[in-house]
Amino acid sequence: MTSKELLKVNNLKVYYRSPAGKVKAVDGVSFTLGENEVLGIVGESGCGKSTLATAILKLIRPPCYVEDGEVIFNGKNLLKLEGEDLRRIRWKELSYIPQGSMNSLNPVMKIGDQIVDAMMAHTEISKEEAKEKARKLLESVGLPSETINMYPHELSGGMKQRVIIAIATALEPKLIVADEFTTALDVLVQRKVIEFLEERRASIGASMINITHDIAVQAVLVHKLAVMYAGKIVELSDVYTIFEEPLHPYTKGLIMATPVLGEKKVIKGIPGNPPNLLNPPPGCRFYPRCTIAEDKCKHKSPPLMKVEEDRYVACWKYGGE
Amino acid sequence: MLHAGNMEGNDLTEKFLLEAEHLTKEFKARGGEYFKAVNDITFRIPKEKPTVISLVGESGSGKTTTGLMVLGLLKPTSGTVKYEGKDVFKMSKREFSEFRKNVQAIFQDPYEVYNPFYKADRILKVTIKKFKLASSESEAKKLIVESLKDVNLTPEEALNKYPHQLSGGQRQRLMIARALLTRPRLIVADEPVSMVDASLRADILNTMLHLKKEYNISYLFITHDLSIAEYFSDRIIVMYRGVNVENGDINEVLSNPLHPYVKTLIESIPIPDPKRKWTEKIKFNIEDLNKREVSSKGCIFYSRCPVATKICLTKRPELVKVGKDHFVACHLYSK
Amino acid sequence: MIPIFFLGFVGPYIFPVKGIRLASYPSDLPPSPEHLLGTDTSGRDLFTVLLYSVRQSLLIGLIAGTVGTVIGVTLGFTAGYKGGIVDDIIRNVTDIFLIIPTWPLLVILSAYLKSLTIPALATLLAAFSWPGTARGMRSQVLSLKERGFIRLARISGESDLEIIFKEILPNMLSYVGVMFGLSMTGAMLSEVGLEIIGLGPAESNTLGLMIYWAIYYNALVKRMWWWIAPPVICLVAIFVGIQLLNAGLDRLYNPRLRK
Repeated sequence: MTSKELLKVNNLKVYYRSPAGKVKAVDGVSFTLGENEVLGIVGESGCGKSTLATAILKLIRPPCYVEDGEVIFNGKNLLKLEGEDLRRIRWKELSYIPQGSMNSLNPVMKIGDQIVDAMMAHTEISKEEAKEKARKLLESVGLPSETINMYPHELSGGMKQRVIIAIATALEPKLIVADEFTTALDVLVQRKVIEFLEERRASIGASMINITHDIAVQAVLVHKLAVMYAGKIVELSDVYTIFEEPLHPYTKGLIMATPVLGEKKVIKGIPGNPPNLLNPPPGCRFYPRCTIAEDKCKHKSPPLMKVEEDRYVACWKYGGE
Repeated sequence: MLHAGNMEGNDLTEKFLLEAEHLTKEFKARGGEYFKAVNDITFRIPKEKPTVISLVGESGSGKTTTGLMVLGLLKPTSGTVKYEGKDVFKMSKREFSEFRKNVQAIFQDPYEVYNPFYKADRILKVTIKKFKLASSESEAKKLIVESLKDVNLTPEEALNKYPHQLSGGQRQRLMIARALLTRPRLIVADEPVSMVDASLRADILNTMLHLKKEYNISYLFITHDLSIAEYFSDRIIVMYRGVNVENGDINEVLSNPLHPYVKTLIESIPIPDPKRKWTEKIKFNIEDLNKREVSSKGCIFYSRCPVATKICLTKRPELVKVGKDHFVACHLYSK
Repeated sequence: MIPIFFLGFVGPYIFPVKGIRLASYPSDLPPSPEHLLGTDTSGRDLFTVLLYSVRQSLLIGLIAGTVGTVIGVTLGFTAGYKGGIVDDIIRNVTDIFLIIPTWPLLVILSAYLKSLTIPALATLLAAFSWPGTARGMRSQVLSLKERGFIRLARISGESDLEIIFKEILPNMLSYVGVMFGLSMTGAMLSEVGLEIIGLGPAESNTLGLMIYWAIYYNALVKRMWWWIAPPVICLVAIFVGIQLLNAGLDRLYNPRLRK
């Protein structure tokens, strides 16, 4: 399945300057994303996935900075864009649903006004057109038209999240980056919101990067899955393959640690803790917790290697020098 | 009638460790109206066998409030909580102290539960002191080290540290260690692993299960996660907006869920297996307005139920027995 | 911060009293090694005057601050922790006091009571500073009350009283410190204000009084900067000192910052 390449991240390194030294939050991440494709980035707290998201969108602030790497979006290196050029891309081609975004709605503005404002700020559109569009947008995520005149506090969590989806997709961007967009929602609402988001995304043909620690949500939503650990991608492949035959011991561990309703499986955790990213060990970062580790793993960190077409692992067990 | 919605309560002579009977808690909402966070909840924890009962529900279901009442931290508006037959809120000081000793708790947010002003292990020392578990400081230290071992924590990593110096998993384990100190017979665990990373969750749950066997501890396990509930419990009580909609033996209920809410819930849980993706859109009325419309007469799930009928609007369904240990409150199954 | 306190308290005990008396020295002298800050129109050695003034002003601030904070903390705490009727009563009383316009009332009272003594002034100032503290305390307690560690403390067997003192209070120390600092500086500022318009106590020397006399005797016109500058600088230094002290203490109170 070859689709036109939309986004290419090359060896991205994003560090934090701290009094104790450099924290290597994202340490050499590379991947590609095609058009109309959904990539999931899964990992636990501290693995760097949120930092990765903000870096791609050029939203990082000091003490966080990009040490190396490039983010090529539609042929342009996003990291090198400034001011007006960047603004033109934001919202229209790239949009972001940050963590806890439902709480970022302006509490003293009506929903309708917020959508209209956003649209008018980024496009040449008249107020009437914007209003009409807002109405249609809300409809597309299953919200009644009364919502336009309501205030955020009158809406439930699920409704607010759908408003966010509406705003983020208002200008029909080519890429949506969503960070834990269903985490605070109840199970029933979560399912509805996922359905709406997927429907909306598919209807505008956008690609999406879905970031969450919940591998179950990833399983139902994405086409490709990247597993992140301690600032690096340790496995990247299409979602069916990863679940059916996980290669990296961490991926295996994650899957084994998740209970599945209806299956009487025993769940096991991964002993130990993720490494300190201030001074990561020279070898594989998963080494201390790995059950199949060898001596080589202690000294050399495996790069993300291609195992098959569209299948990558960062583990010495699968070859490489 | 007395036993509608409970375990095989035919045997009245069986004494229970803890009985929650018709627990109700009302709160005053901002608009001045009262709403029932917990509405007539009844369950019993047996004395003989260590049992895990899960209170499963989403936010607003009243499960945490129920837990607080069971712990004696919150006084019910009506209904009783009885420990070994005695009403917890009417106990003498000594009886209450016994109660506290035997009914302990683990809470959700592993950071919030530590007083940031003190070192994390202080709370263990306080517990030992308050319940007179040790007669000297060295004995207390021994007790603490033993407890730490039970939860797979080393003294080096856990003691003498401030809460912010410990990881989430370590703080949670420390909390369990504290709960173990008094050798309780019941631990109320309110979302003990929700805020812990997936890879650490399993170990903490397994530790808790191990402790159940080792020390004969029963659990009242409060969670929103059905999969974890299935893994961990013997019985399940599903709550929706304060009402017990279905309860029973965990296998019976989950293999044959009857209440529309429970069915919808199960269908909405994403499975970590892309081959079992959702194939069609779920049918239910997603709550559209943030109104606490709890119709006091009809079924609590009416506004979202895909199969609601007229009677559901006017009459509240009672819990009826539908299996060996399986009870449902839904007009579809009422006699 | 420490130097200011040092100066204020220790100073007057080191230096002799005699310089205060009027016309002890020739008047209007600029600073010299003999008179570090020169003399004023009444012939007083200004350096000595300054020392005494600092002490008095600090005293006013401390008394007013302490009394005000103690009342405020107690009431605010009780209101927050007990809730219910107690809370309502205290809150209403607090609100009443808050609504009363402090400044005009002070002016009226001072003008009416011909002779306002220092202790009286301090008490008066305290009476106006406690509501702010009470309010702040109450909201702090309310927010802390629901925190997880309170529940855990109850589960571990701590009594209500122990919870108040051992759990809640330590977390509020930095807040209390700030409130105290504010009360104190507020009181001192009010005193200065009153003095400047001539309504403050004149029985002993305060920084405010110094400024008053300086203005009265047209120190600025006479280019006697050594009269008016020192008290102002001292006041500023005291205020800044208190804030810094609080910031420093905050490190002590908050273990997270200690590392």
